[in-house]
Amino acid sequence: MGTMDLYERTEVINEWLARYGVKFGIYKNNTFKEQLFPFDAIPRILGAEEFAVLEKGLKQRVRALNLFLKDIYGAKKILLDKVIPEEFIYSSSGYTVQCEGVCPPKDVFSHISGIDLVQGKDGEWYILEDNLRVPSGASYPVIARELCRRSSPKTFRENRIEDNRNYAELLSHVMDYVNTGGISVVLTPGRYNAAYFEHSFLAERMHVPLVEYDDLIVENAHLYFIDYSGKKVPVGAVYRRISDEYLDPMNFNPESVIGIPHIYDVYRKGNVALINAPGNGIADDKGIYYFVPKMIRYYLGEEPILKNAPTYLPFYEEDRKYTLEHFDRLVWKDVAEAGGYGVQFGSGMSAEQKEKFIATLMRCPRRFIAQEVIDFCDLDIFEKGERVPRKADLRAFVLTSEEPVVWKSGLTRFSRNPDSFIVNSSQGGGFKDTWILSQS
Amino acid sequence: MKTVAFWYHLQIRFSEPVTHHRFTVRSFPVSDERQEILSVSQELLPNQFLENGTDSFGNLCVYGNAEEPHELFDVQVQGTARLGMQPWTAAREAHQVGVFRTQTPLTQTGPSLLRLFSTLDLAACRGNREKAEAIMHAVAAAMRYLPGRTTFETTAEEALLGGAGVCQDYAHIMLALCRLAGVPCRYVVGLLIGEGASHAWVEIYDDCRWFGMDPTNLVPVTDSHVKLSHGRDYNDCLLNRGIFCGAARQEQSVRVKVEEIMEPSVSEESGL
Repeated sequence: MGTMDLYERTEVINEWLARYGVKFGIYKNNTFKEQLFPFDAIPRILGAEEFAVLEKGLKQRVRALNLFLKDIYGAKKILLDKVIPEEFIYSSSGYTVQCEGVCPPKDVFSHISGIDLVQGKDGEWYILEDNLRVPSGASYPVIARELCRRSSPKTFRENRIEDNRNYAELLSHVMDYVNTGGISVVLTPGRYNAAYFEHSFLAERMHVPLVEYDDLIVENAHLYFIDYSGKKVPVGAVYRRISDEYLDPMNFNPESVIGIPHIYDVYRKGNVALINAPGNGIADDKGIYYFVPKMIRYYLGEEPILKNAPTYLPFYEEDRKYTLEHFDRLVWKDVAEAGGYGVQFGSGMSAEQKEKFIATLMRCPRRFIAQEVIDFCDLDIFEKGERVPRKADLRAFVLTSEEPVVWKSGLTRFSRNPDSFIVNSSQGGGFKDTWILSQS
Repeated sequence: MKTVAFWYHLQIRFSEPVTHHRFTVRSFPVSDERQEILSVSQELLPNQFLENGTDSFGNLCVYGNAEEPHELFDVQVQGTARLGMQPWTAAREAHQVGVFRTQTPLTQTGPSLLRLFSTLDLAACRGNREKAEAIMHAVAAAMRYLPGRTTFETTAEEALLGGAGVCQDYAHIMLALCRLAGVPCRYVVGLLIGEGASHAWVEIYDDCRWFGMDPTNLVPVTDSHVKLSHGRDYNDCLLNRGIFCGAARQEQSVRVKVEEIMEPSVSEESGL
């Protein structure tokens, strides 16, 4: 398979990415900085058969998660049947009481699910986390693919690779499917958001307005977009890239100045679709993650196709005993944190840190999960002209309308630091394209 | 059983005109097993855009916005009600009770609450209602009614530590203790015969029914209370929530009147 032609153009592609504004913003020491998202030209390559298994497993998982969300904010059968203890729901910061009894248009809660996976050295794939709130990252492989094709058309003639440039079309279809009547828009918190490039890119590719809070207004039971001439245009679907907390100061955090007052009341009446649905944070909860395989059996009556990383809940006495005995070989995660924060390796703590950590753990065991450290596959990257192995994960995107559809690509993130397992872009990682081969 | 006429009047005066005002008002009683709303009328100003809604707890809301400059926000709700038909209200389906077993930031426990809780002898109590009654007496004994010592942000733990507060604090302390005892309970906002301001109390869950208890007055809730809304704590039951543009100072007044009447009268449609 000829790929050298592409690799030789890595630098050019990175220059183009910079010119196209493929950046993400971060706040450090109270100042806003934009950083490039380094691209490595060596793709992650998944064979057609391998992808077919992932595809089946991801669809199954997302189907179960959607049913779980509907159940939790509705009949709560899974609690009444004691599959999940009640306190895991009600004490979770992701549980949103305002969503009780509210069903989104067409019953779709998670329109866009970003599922993070890693591949173990044994070849087995493990799910690391589910992101059902506002998962970001799909735009990066799309634009990278475009630039790679432009810089090395030969590579894409010689290799049979599934085209991934249809992401915006898939997303448009999802928005049209749940649209309650009116235009669709992408709502961004603004240019200081880490993923602003993606917001503008997706809006442009879907040919819908990119709006901020003051472009939208609620009047009576409907939401309107105020266009350039001041005309009010009804809105039927909002792809909001803003968290629940800041979405509507009248229903969520009253301090929010980037939300749209009463948008949630319009949604509650079924007069606008919010993508993704508010309240999904309960499914992202790292404590709830433990229960996803149980959900698959409970709601679908099927065995999970994809495995979770081996996970323990110190909330259960048996697990607490085990995790304290094997403290050093586990990775500890604070369920309230995201973006690679709140992750600590037992072996990496000093005696003092460990003592402090265990005290917190004993006080609120519900706050933590512990996982076996997976020895996951390294992927090669180019560093100063040399191929070196680095830790990498894969964020797969599953878009749900009538049925879940797995996008035939994904965001492969890698850690640039050879000693680090943490690949999040907010922690300085880079990304790769993900190729799904169209033939075995 | 009593028949009462009730009147609730909220006014916010702004020191200079404000615009782009968005508000949600939650002060409309609904009929249940204990109270029957015989008649009710509401008047809201400004009323450029008004819409009815129901929140996740089943409370009625009116929300809206007023874009034009205005210096006064005025809400009047009045009507007649028959109270105390039953000493309880039916619980919505059992699966919706769990959320009321969980502490909220306002009822989060600390050393004072845990100390008070440890002095209670709940083992002897049969059922949630007896437990709640014992808790209610403990709250009343530990607190002094004293306005001005607490604010709307005071937590149950802080109020108990201070030993003094108002109905909201009594209710939060009682909620915190009931939840420690595993008794599902909720915060209630309403009106009380003879009270000139809105009032707060607690409902506890026992065998598919909610029973009202008023820890401030140390009485069960029967035929003197008009319920407006309920939730997990004060924050779920705000009578009014609003935001606006303008650097105005606000002066808010709430006036309430609940009086027993002999005959249930038809709503007076005096231009409302």
